[in-house]
Amino acid sequence: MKTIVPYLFHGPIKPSEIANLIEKYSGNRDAGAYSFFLGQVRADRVGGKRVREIVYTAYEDMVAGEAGRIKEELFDIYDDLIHLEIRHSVGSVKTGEISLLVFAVSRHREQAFKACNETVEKVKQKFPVWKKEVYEDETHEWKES
Amino acid sequence: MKIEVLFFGVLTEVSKVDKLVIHDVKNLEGLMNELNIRYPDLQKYTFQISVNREIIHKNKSFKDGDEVAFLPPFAGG
Repeated sequence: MKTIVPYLFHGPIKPSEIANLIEKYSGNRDAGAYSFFLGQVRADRVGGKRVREIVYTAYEDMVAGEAGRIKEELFDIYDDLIHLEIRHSVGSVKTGEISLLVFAVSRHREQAFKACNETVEKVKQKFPVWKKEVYEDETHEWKES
Repeated sequence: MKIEVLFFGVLTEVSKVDKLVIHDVKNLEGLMNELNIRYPDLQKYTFQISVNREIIHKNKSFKDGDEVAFLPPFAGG
């Protein structure tokens, strides 16, 4: 995966990234809980056509600011939180591939669950990202969250 | 004075470009007048506007080099 800005990556996110993150943070002996979310591109059927891939575009220079604000807000609310990772794809992500990863590390499970859920919702509301669903017949449609 | 205008998502299909440079518009109202002439279909779409990556909600004066972006509803995830 090629990093564009700290939160954006070209192409799909590999499932192995979760294992890499756990390995990375397991050395932190204050950590007691991990919670993560992976968003996968569905092969939706729209009016008889099936989705083949989603092409994501982003306002790259604005993403870093929004991500920073989301993290700041959550670290203010959840004092148990140790780390929050947000990764979003840009470019083509095919059905069955992962386009969003949120990973929360905290001392106890409750705040890891909550921080992970809230981050996913905030990413969907606030990340300047757009998705174009491309169908098997080569037509496309811009989608809203 | 010049400003840079960016289009995203479905709006790139209206403007046919991702980016353009516009000279001698003093404020957002002036820019909208100019763009509505160039791209009459722009009015059919819902979007927010940011100036230098901050979303704005009312008319704003521009300074040289400002980056104005037209942002359709976000669709991350």
